[in-house]
Amino acid sequence: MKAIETVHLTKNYNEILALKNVNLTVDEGEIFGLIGPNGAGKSTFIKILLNFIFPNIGHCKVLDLNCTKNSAEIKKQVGYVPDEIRYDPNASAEELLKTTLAFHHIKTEDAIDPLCEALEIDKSIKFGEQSIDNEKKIAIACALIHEPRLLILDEPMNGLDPLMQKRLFEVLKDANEKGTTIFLSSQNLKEVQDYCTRVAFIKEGRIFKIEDLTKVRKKYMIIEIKAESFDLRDLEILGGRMLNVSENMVKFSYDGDVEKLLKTLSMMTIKDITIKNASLEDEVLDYYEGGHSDDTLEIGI
Amino acid sequence: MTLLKLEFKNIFRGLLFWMGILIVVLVVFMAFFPAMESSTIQNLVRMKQGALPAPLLAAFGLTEVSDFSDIKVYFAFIMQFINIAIAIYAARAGTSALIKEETDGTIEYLYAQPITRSGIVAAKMVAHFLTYCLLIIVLEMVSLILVLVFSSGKYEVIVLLLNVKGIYLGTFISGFIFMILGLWFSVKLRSTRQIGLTAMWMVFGTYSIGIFAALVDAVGFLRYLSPLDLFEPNHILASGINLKALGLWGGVVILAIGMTFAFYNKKDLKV
Repeated sequence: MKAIETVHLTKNYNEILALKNVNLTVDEGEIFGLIGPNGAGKSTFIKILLNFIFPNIGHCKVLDLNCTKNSAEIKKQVGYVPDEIRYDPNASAEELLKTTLAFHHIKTEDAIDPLCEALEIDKSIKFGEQSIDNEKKIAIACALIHEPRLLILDEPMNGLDPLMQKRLFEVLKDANEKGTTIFLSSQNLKEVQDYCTRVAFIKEGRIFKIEDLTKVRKKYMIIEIKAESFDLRDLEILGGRMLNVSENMVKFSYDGDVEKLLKTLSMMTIKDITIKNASLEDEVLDYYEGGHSDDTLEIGI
Repeated sequence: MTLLKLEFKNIFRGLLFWMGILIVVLVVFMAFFPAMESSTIQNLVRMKQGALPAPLLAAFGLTEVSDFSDIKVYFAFIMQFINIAIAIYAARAGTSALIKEETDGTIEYLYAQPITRSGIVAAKMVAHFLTYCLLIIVLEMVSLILVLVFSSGKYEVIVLLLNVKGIYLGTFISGFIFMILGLWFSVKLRSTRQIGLTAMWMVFGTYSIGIFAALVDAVGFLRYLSPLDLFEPNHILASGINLKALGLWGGVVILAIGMTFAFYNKKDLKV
């Protein structure tokens, strides 16, 4: 079964395009990351899945149920951690967890203590008096307490220190091993790439790439040259893809023969050169920074 | 049921505040009644009222020169002001019902739970309705005790009971109308900052229309736009509940409830 399936999902806020024609499928059992900068459309996408807002065009399903028509039914099986957590400041963590269980008609409260221990939550302190770290942990506990089939987390790493990020992913991994599908959004691929099975990259409301992180990626290099002068045609003939060109500097990606590259470069009067193996992060950053037009989109869906 | 309990918990403190204030106001107003029985004060009131034109008296629910030494008349008079306060409470309660969670951001937690939007509206409406009923019942009981204490046994208990009950029925109806109108506005508002102003406009806007309609015969029909005027204590004492007005506003209330559910179900939540 598909955990998430969206078809031509499009959302406008008045004149502003927040999502455009997003087609995305997440299989059950995956840990899926939606990566993009601020304002890329990540939260809008999640809010449509949870029926906080309605799409202008297209439709979506969560666990094979229509997001708009079966929202309450979906939420019986979904846990959600918002980006900015604003729960009742006067309620303690224990009260919030008990309320969540009550909403799910779960009478036994045995799950509260182990979950609080695993996430190191002091359940007696009021939510309004908790640190950002602890607020996030409480939100995660509330999202996990009813053992959901799908867990949706909007920027879960925001505000967490690296140690807590690692702890959080251990908890998520554990839930995933028990059968929970994880869908999370993040601004930073590095934070999530060790844990996600697949990631989708989003910019200006469009998903432009989906990467399977369980497969070995083809390696390529990023080369930056500073020189008095150079002939771009030589580099292009070589197979280099220009990323950034100015009067005395050129930055290009290259995945061909290294010997040929060195021969070509040796014919130039180079002042400085940097060669590094490109990561997926570099590739995506190149895309974000490059201002690519629509026809260069590499739609991986 | 879980949401209903949460709502009760959230609005109970506000209810106690309003209840306390209104009880104090009632006690203070009623404490003036013994003074109203003195002939000096009666003469003064008659002289002042006699100087006012009849339409202006009517605008304030005084169809003729009132005898404030009659506790029924005096109580009906002070209940005009209590009614306005209760209308403001009800309008604020309704207006804040849906927008407050959106502005505070707590709707994100709530709507991540397995509950429909209609369920949210219904739970909030029922919670506010029940607390409103509690407010009315407590105030009615306090009023009855005060009226009985200050009447000094001059009237039959049953007469006073029926009068207080009749007046509070009007109070309940006008406040309920404002609560439901407020609920409808709550779907449309952008932020809690608009709650106070919206509630005040609703109550004093319609109240002013009622006064205007009483002053100018040609636009007398506009009185039907003012719940506070239609269910005003002196009118109820004189001729009971205006059934035509009750039917008219009953229709408006049903329409407003229907529209509240319909619009909330189609609304993009501000989270």
